[in-house]
Amino acid sequence: MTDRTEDSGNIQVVLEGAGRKIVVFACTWCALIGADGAGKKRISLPATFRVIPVECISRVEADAVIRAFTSGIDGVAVMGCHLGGCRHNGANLRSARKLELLKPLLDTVGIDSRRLFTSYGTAHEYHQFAQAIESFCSQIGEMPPVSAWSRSFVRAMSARGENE
Amino acid sequence: MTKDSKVQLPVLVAGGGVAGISAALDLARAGKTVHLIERKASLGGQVASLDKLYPTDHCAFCPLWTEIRSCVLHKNIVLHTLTEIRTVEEIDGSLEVRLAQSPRYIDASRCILCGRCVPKCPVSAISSGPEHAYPQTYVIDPQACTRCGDCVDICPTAAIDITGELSQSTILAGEIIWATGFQDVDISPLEDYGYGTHPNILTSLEFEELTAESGVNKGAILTRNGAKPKRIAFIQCAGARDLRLFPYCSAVCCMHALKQAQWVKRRSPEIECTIFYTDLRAEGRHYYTYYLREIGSGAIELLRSRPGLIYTLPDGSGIAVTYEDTSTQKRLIRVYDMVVLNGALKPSLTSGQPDLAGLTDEEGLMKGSYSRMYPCGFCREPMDVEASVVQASAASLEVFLGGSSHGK
Amino acid sequence: MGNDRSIRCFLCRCHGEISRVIDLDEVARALKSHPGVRSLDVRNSLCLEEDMDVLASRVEDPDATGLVLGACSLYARGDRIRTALEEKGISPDTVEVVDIREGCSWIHHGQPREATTKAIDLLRMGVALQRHRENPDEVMVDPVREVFVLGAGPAGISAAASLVRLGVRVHLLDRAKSPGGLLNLVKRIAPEDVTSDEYLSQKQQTIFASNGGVSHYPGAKLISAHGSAGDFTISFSSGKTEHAIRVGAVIVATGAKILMPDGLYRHGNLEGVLTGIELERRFKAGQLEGNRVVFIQCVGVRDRKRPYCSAICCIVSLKQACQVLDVDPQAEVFVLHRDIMCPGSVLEKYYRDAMARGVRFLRYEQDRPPVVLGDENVDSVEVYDALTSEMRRIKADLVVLSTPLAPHDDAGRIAELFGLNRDEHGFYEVRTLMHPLETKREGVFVCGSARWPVLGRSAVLQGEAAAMKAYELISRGTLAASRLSTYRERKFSLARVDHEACTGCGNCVAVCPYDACSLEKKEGALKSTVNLIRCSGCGSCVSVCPNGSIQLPGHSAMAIGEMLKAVCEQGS
Repeated sequence: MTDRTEDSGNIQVVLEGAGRKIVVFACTWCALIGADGAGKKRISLPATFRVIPVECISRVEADAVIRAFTSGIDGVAVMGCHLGGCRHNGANLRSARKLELLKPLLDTVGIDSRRLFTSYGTAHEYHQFAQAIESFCSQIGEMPPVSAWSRSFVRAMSARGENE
Repeated sequence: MTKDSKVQLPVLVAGGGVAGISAALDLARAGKTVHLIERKASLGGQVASLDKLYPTDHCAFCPLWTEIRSCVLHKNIVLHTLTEIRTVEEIDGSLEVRLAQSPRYIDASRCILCGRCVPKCPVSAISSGPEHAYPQTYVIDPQACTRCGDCVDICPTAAIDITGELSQSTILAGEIIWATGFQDVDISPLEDYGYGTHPNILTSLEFEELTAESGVNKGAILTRNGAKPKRIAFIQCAGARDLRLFPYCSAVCCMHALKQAQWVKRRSPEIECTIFYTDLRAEGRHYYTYYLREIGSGAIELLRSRPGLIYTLPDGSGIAVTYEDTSTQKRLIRVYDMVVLNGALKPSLTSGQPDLAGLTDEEGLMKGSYSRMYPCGFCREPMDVEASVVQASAASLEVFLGGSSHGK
Repeated sequence: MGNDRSIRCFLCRCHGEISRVIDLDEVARALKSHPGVRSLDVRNSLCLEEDMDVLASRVEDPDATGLVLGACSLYARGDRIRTALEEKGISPDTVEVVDIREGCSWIHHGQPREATTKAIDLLRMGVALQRHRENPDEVMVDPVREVFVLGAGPAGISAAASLVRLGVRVHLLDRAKSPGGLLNLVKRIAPEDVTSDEYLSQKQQTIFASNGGVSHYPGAKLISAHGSAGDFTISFSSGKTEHAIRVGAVIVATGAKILMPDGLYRHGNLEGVLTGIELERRFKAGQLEGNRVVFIQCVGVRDRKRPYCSAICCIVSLKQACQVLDVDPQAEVFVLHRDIMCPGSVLEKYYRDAMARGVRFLRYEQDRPPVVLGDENVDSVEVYDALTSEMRRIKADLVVLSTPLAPHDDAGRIAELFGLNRDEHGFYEVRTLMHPLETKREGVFVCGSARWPVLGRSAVLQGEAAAMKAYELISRGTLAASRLSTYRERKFSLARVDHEACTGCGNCVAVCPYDACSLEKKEGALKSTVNLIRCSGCGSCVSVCPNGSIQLPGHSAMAIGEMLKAVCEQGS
């Protein structure tokens, strides 16, 4: 297996939706390794996403997702270990269920629930990480920004919103 | 009673697979200085070459990689990669171990992975190294390298030195843990399996590499020629439980085949999979649950039969597997696009040391106990990951106990 | 609060790998004016010795300074930057390695402008995280150099014998009156072919000759267990006395029970139908009658009710079959099986030897099990031979049912006491494949048939391995809680509760995967309290706390909020 790694294939510039910003919560035990792998392979990806490493995705509270939307972010991805392969005694399972519950809630306040993307298990599959990010970024790119109304609505909803 | 005679000598762990890594970490965490010797350029052993592990179905890479990272970063562990053990001599109650280290050419502590050397090399001798290596560096193939020096000039951090030569060194160790693992075996001498006569008659490790998620086809199930197979046969006990080659059961192949077949089904449900088996040994922790999950649906065909002859059809349209339908005692032939041979794994011992030969039994496995030497993992007896790790910890314990009076 | 922490930024050109794509001058301009950033340097290669020294020299007061390094990923060189800085006295907690290479310049090489914007965002996020990072609470633990071993079967005995030889005091507790566990029930041990007394005698001698190194409590009953790695308190009764002991680690080696066939194959109704253990009793008493013996494997197991393989029964039956032949070489012995489970070299050889001695094997199918025939005594067994597709009738004097091991009835109670999980069959769960004896509770190890049915040889090995793990934990002297682990060098961050804000709702207690959170009375009200030794820093509690009163100091909600703001600062 000798590959020269310069993945010269798909250099594409994603212009549409360039102003959108996407936050990716990546578990350090899995998704972050996938992200690292994608980097090593120099896979060209849209530049709209920003990774926030977390010890485990169970750290990502509903409030963090909501705050992301209030702060002006248009898409949130939560990427953790394979369900059942969590380093923290299955903490990610509970988190996965919780995030599913959040989705309909987002819909009701006018934030398309597709803006919250979850994915489990990509450590060794850097191309899967790349694919997931690429399709999510382009999906968000095709959507309009989150409306100001929705942002202010969720701001009011957020318990810890802006009171620091 | 611990026997802390004289000075605390370091412990040498031979082999950087799952058993060696576990032993090294156990010893280091309990305060020993450990020299971890690995023949290859990076740690991980055979498990690093696996795509998924049974019975979890998760990547083999991630649990292993975490341990490798701990090993590399541990201050009590001195890592010697590309290193072989030449001789071991017992002198005055300690072991003098002579090591031969092949040059790395690329200094891992300076390589920043920029990859500029790769296109510079006129003979394509530089590659990015194994995917899962930690720390990752570029690697020069010493056989292919012409020592032209182009890479040296382009390297921004002066990490490359192609003048390196084999270097010898000696370590005085208190004990050695042998964890040299296993290797794939060329079973073309057993002609009935047809290995070597057709590119799509593969060993299971070759199949794993070909279909791995991180491999050439990114997890797609394709034959060596890039075509989509319609039918795949997994032949168990090929070369194992076979007095012609290895009389022992390799212990890992049944579950390994189940795992491979089920990943084939998961990725391409239309491919038909048959496992030809002798006994389906799913006796380990949670193995039977795995077996039921995959077999219960009936998607994978299990055939209790040992194929007699495997050969390429003259028109090249496939690979014929002849077997006996035991219920009718009739010889039947089935045609497959790929045949995966499972079973012939042999203990991998440090090669070419006449004075180490006495350490093995008639089956080529390392014997139980010697003074100050403790074998563990597959080189001692065929076993799975979990058992290897347990045995590695037990071997580490023996180091602390000072061995001797211990049982089997 | 850490807001006043001053941040020193370093950007790495990585010899062009970063600077070729990202306009570092622009990044530097954007960051210099950023609140909290006290200085900014651009270097060629932060990971190399030459720059590392410069880096370290800029940190006058490691406690008041945060370092934000714009470099490569943690897994590429970042790890080593942090390790090298730690050697220079700079805590890794204060060093934020922001990945602008793998995570930016390399994956956005076609989009320099966007990559530069992203790099600014990422670095501002790093600065925000460092500014709002707080030092986690730490407790020091001096592990008690004593170990509690529960169960005196082969696993427990080997663990105890090993530990006592290492100079560790052991408390060995067993429900039975005499040690040996299930081995006491059998005459000989397979595959070693020795008597059960011979098998463990050496280890037992070690234990009982240890001059008080091992306190053995036979016939004892566990009452309670509290505490965490390094310091558990366990109370139990032995005879009429109650004991309470403190230990640093716990090894659970409670073994398993032998399942009775429950009327299967007419056991109990037909003379001559025995279980394996009943046969052993006859061996021990030396009264074996009849020389036509049929063993039936997988009795009450590998079926719908117990969908697992008990792993040891095949070898046990092989052993017993050979013992029948020992008594009468002319005996006719059949083993009716569904697969002979003899993995590896030793067991496979054992199987071959049994075959060579004349034991005959016949494969039956799960849905066509053998039928035992006879009126008062066993007459024969009728079985469909799966290999030849024929019905066969085998004359038999004895039918031996090979039943599996199953978890003890009190396995649930012990699991509760020690915070263990159980799998769907009731055996104790362990961590990942690479940590096969460690449980979700640090300092509690499981070995032997309590975790999965094993032969004596594996039980002994696991006992030794568990002893090693326990020794690792208790032999290192005083340790910070964040380093007290047998499977990693350092935990990420430990949770902290703001007791004023905590409403005592208990959400964190419900979700903590390590049972680290509990409700305790503080000034008259229930408040969540974190056991720092158990806490592993996953953050589950943080995400369910209704008012943010529990936080990971290294990764607080405020820090994440500030990071999110940092993302949106530009271009909006």
